Amino acid sequence: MKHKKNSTAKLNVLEVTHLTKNYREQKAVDDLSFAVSEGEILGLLGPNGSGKSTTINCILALLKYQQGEIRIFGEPMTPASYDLKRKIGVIFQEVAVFDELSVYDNIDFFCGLYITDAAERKAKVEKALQLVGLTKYRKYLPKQLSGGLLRRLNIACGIAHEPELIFLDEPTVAVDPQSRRRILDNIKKLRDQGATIVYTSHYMEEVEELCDRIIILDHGKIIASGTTAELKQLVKDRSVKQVVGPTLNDVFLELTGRELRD
Amino acid sequence: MTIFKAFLQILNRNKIILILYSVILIFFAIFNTQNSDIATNFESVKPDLHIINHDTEQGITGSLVKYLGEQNNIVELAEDAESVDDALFYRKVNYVVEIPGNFRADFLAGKNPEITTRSTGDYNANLAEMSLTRYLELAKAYRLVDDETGMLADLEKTLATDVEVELARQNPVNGLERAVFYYNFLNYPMLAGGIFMICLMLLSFREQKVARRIMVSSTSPARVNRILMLANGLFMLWLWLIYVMVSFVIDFHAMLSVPGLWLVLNSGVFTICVTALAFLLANLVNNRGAMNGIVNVVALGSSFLCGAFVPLEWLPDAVRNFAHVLPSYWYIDANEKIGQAEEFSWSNLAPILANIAVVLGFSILFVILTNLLKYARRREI
Repeated sequence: MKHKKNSTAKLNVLEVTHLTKNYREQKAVDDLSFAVSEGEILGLLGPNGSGKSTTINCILALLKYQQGEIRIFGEPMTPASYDLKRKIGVIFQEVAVFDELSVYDNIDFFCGLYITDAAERKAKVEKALQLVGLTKYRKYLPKQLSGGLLRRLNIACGIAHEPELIFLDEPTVAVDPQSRRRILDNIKKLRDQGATIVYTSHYMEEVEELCDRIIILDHGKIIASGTTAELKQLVKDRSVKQVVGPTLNDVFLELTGRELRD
Repeated sequence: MTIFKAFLQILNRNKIILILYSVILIFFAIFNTQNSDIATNFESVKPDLHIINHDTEQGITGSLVKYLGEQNNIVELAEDAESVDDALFYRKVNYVVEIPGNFRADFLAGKNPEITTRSTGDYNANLAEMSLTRYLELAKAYRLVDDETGMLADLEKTLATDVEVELARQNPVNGLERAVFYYNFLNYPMLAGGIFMICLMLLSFREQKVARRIMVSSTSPARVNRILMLANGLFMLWLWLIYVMVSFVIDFHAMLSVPGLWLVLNSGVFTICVTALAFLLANLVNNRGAMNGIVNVVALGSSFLCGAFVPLEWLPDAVRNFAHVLPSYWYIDANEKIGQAEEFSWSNLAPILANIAVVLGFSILFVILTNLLKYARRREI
């Protein structure tokens, strides 16, 4: 990673200002503004339909939006911002790989979309294989991998080109505790190497462990943001009943409510 | 290059299906070559027949012998039983007819004198028996209404009626029988293999989760599409060249002739059309299950309706008329015309070129439809 973590002078890697996205009459994202500074892991939390995925898709220029501005490394993000996209890595919730290609060839293919030099790419693919612990599975086809290994392949495909800003959309869904541990360790390694990370998950303990700062979204709006400690304090302060030592899960349910979402 | 490399790797993983289509093509081409009869005219089959006539009179007996002689090849044998047995055993004759003495008198008296027959029991023997039965049955019918003179006159008139045989299908006249069959049959593997591979390839890259990953990368989707189109085009070129080479292996001399090279040109234009059609279908289908169904319907349907498997002349008029809306019809019809052309004058070339132009027209139509479909479907992911 090119950017090393620097606690003194922090540049805003991602800036979202007054972002509004409507699906016909329904507001999916409502005047959303936030920033992510260099080397930070930002946790984006929210119940289903809260606008997390829509926000990320808007940031990645996969969706058009009605209002607002998105800047990455100080530059406006558009579908044709290919130089900017070179610095971004995305790990979608769904495993997105070719069934016909081996583990190595899948990583090589997706890395090749960013890096054209064969020698440089080879080195990066090897590094990614090592990072996610798939070196000995390099010749396997995706269908021969377990769920946890597939998730790790999915991550390797998204970060092999060594991006400076990484979006991780629920990367630990449906994996066993061992694989989850490995994935979380990998994310910490990426952070240690200087990457800025936007992380979404429904697992509160993961967010608590990884994220420097958390934004809780609901109905397309930010309803709370801050460090884990700040959010816990916020719930303590506003509760009628004194909550003793609330967990992040308590905070989340207190802020977003307990009714089921569609 | 990684896109092209991935294309080749996906192709490699699905090579079995392509090999299967090619093996079917080559098998049928060779099978047909071994079994092809070059029927340029119709000639009725004449079985070998021996007659032992114990009746010394003429009249109905003479007429019967004369008729059997016209319908069969009369084989003369020694009159002993051993010679007849040997002739039947060694298939020198298919049928032996023994007319009893006093046949004429008995027959005219209204009796049914028994004619002894011996047969090899094969197809030709049955034909000989049919000619004998036909004569006797007619004679019995006319015997009821007329005397011998009138009966013989009626018999002669009735039996002289010829059936006109018209050849519905003209075989190639310039030595391209095998080549025309091969290139007609090529319609199937070209459509099935081409559509299957192009759809599979484009579906793999357009699968939403993969497409999203490509869209967020620093390679523009337009560039990915250009490389995929080039790769698919090269694949179809390669497939066509393989099939053309096989045709040269099957009948080198015929393929090296001018009409042989016209067959190659015609198949080349058809390959362009198949490529355009495959791109259109790849934009219509969105899953692999539907893709397999479409491959079968389009490739098998076109091949049956347009004369790739059975000659068009054998199909009902309604089917032939419907086939005009399919490019395969014009491609196969051009092959047939190339096979019929004794010389490549303008009058012979014009209809062939017209067919080729129609196939090119279909290609352009498919490209336009593909672009219209893409335009209509352009939406946010």
